[in-house]
This record gives sequence, structure tokens and C-alpha cells, in this order.
Amino acid sequence: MTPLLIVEQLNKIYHRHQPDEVTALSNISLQIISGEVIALTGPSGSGKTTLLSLLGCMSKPTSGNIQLHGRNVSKLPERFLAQIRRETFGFVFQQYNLLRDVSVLENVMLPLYPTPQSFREMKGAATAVLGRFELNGMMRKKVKQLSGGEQQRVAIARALVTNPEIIIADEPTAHLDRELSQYLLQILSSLNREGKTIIIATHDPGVYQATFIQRRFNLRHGQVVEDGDR
Amino acid sequence: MLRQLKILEYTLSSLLRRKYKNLSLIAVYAFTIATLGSVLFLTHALKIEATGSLTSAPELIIQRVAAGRHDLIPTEYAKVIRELPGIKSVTPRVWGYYYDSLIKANLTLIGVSNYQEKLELLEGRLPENPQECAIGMGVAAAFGPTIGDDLVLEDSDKSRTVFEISGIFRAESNLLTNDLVVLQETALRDFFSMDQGLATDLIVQVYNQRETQTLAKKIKYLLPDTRPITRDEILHTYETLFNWRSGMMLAVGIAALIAFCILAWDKATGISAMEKQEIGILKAIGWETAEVLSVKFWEGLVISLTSFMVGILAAWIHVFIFDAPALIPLLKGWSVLFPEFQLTPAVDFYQLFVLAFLTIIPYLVCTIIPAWKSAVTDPEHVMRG
Repeated sequence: MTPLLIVEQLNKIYHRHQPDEVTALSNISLQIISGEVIALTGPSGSGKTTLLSLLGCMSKPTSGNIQLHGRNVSKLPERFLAQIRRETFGFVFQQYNLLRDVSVLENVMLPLYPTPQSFREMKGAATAVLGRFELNGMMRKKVKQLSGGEQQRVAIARALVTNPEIIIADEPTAHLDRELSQYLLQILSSLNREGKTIIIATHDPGVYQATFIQRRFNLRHGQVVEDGDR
Repeated sequence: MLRQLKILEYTLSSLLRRKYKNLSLIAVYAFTIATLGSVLFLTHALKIEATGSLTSAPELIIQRVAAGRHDLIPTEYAKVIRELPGIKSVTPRVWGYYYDSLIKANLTLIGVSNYQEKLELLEGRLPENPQECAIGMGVAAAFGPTIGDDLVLEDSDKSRTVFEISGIFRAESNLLTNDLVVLQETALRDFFSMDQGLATDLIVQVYNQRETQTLAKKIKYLLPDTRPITRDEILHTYETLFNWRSGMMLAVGIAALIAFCILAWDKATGISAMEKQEIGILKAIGWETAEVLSVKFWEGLVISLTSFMVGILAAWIHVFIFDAPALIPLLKGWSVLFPEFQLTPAVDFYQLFVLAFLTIIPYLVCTIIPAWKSAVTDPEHVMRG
């Protein structure tokens, strides 16, 4: 099967040639097949978030290549990377990263503004995805009026509104209690059953030991120290 | 087009989210524009008013200069000038200033004989005997009398002279007639103790206006102690006077504008953590840098254009409806009796364009540059919270 993502000799160095230079990732190589659920694990500072941001085309590597569908995306100009982020990836952030003074509906519609969809289509898509997470009743509410669990569901709805191929989730259970964490894992599992590729960075054993996680890459000091099926 | 419309919709919603902050910004911005706009509107309207009023002024005025100062001119100079080819008529004019300590204002007293056709009355008539006078609207307003009442003036010997008011001047010529008291020439000569052979100045009419300048030179050559003043020079003096005054006001206004720019720059460069996070989120979920900048551009344009229009509207209302109460003492009158007249609405679009350029563009730059600095950085930082 052709890999969806191929990572070759990936390096990421922050503040290069400066006194505070930091090597965040060193010679990372891995492949991800379409429909897989991957867990990136490791302690804080091991490079999980950096690797996620590179895989999600949010930043460019210092050296090395990332191929998405066989196309090298690591050196593409920013406008193409934005298009790839919009069309291919759905992001679920640790801090939710929602606009707190904006309504739930508008937050979910945000990724659709740069698309050719009309307002009606945008609203239709957002309403549909909110309905899936039983958030229809709070569409007009502002995000700051919601609980943490509700905000996380809105964040997932926003990640799914463009119907992306790959879901990238960074510590998605970090601010959730056990019950809500389980609920989130059920959502991710069901998304995987629909064919979505999911990449999760986590240090929560409840997540990386979940049954639907298929492979795990364990990182230490910016290097993959363990790569294996579960 | 649809995408820009959607971005504009997002911009408006974003502006509404921060409505109190944006409204206070618009208020300060609009006040600055209103101040500058008022000065420009008023100066332009006054220039037009003065120019309009001077269209019936004589083409040439001859004054005598003694020791570098305006002095009375012998009426026999009129005969010398009249003999020059191209001269239509020469009329001696007698007038002078009178300071009234009661109303603390300077009045202009003028004697009429042959020049009276140039003066239009609101009501009544011009004086027909030495005991009568006609007055400007400002004099009527200051003293409070009307036709048939007495106007009492003190001459240089401190003797009181009483004139019966026979007429009041029209509002259209108010800029020139506001502080005017018109007497018969003989009455004025008596009042100022002026000899029959002297006049304040001479009014010269010419056949061909294009020769005015040449004739002025000839008069100066023939009568070296005179100062010929053409109508164009008077207009130029008015322009210089109003430009100087508006320049003073504009200097103050520009200081306010600079203060506003500093405020705007501070606001824009001090882009809040929340705004930075919003830019990061938009980038992370697939907005391009150009789209984020479009939002900031529209934000800046909506705020600056709204402020500009509100400011210009406020300036218009201030100047043309309320007669610029905040500026008129500085710009309008050269006498203590300020003319009361309705300014004719007139706009110099070039000035408006310059004002728009000097206010809208810097604000847009102040808004876009810091947003651009935030937008070109990797959206990765939003992942780190």
C-alpha cells in the first residue's frame, strides 16, 4: 500500500546559528499509511508537537523531506501549505484554540471562509458537523460560555468541517477528565472507522494504550527511540 | 469576489466583537479629522466669500505713503491720474477707523458721494444729509438700534455726534459691510477733521482690466509717494491672510494628527496577545497570509473610512450649519466686530483628498504592518498555546 505520508531524514533546529539554538528533531524517518491511527508519545520536550506541526504543514523542516501523497511538501511556498492545511488536515489543539468571543457556529465555519463555498453552504456544513456532536442547541452561544468538554467537541467539529483526510490531535485529553477523555477517544475511533487517518501526540497512557491506536512512535530528545505496531 | 465578501463579513463580525475599543478609536480619529476638516472648510469658504465680495471692488486703489505709512492723499492727484490714457474715472474716497470703547470694537466709517452705487442695503436708504448714517449688521447687532434710532459717536475732540440711522446693509455683503458706518462725505470730513483737499485714498476705474498693472506702474512713476493697489493684490492679501490663519490652525491640527498617529501606531504595534492568537489560529486552520492581511486591511479601512466620513460630516455641520463657533474667532474677522453671516457650503476636493490620504493611508499602514509581522510567522506557535 502506498504510504500517505513519508518522512525522510527530518531535522528541525530552532534559532539556528544563534546562542540559544535548539535541535528539536533529529533524523526522523517514518511512514504513515492511509487510515492508520498513530500515537506520538514521549515526555515534554521530546519533539512530539514539533513533529506534528511539520506533518501538518504548519512549519518547514530545517532539512529532510515530507511527502504527502508522493508530493514533497517540505519546500512548498506558504500559500500552498495553507491550502494543504485547509483541505487535507483537521487540527485538534491541546488548548482548543477557539475564538472565545465568537459563537460556536462561527468558530466551526472559520476554516470554510477561504473556500469557494457560499455562506449557506458554509452554514449547512457547520450545522451538520455540530449536529453530529450534539452541539446544535448551543450554536449561538459564545465559546467562553461552554464547559471544557463542550469546547473540545467544538474544536473537533471545526477540525472536521472541511472533511479532512488526516486528523492531527495534540494532547487532546490534556484538559479533560476521565469520562470526557473516554468520550473523545470514542469519537476519534469512530472517525478512524470512517477512514480518517489520525495522528495523536500524547503522553496519556489512556490514549496511547487505547485499542484503536495501531502504531506508536516514542520520541526522546527529538529522535524516534521506539517504533512499533501495537 | 465571494471570498472577499466573506472575508469582509468576517471583518465586520470581528470589529463588532471589539466594539467598545473600536468605537473609542473611531471617536478620537473622527475628532481629529473634524478639527482639520473644519479648518479646511472654513478657510476655503471664507476665501470664496471674500473673493465673491471683492468682485465689485475697484480695480485700482491709490494710497499715499508718508514715512512708510498710509497717509491722506491730496485730491489733486486725481487730476494727474485722470489724464493718463486708459483711465475711466478717479474718485477720491474718504474713510477712517473709529474705536468704540463701549462695545470694544473698531468701526469703519466711510463717506459716500459718488461711490454709493456699490453698497446695497437690507432696509432703509443711504444717508441723504450730514445728520444721517447707514450701518452694517454687526454695528446694528452691537449697539442694538434700528432704523430711525440714533447712533452716537465721539469725535477726536471727545464731542458727541449724533447720527440718525437711515439704513442697514444687506447680509450678502456682510464680510465687507459688517462693521461699516456710512456717512455723507461732508459729515465724515467734519467728524475726522479732514481737509477738503485731502482724501483717504483714490479709486481708479480703467477701461481695460488687463492694463491695470501697467497703469499702476505709470501712476507710481508719476506720483512716487503713492502706492497703487490692484484688486488682484487685495485678493492675494485675503488669501495670504486666511492661509496664514488656517496655517496656524492646521499646525495645531497636525499636532493633534501626529498625536493620533502615535496612538494608532502604539495600538497597532501593540497588537494584543488575543489578536496574535487569532491570527495564528486562522493560519493554522488553513487561512493564507494574504487572507489574514485582507481581514486587517478591511478592518483598518472600515475604521479609518468611517472615522473620516464621520469627521468630515461633523466638520461640515460645525462649519456650515453652526458657523464654526470653535474656529470663527481665529479665522473669520479682522475686526473685533465679527461678521455674522451664513457661509456658503463649498468644498475643495483636492484638500479633502489630501486630508484623506494623510489620515487613511498612515492608519492602514499602522494596522497592516504588525499584522503582517504576525501573519508571516509559522502558525506552529498556536499549537504550543
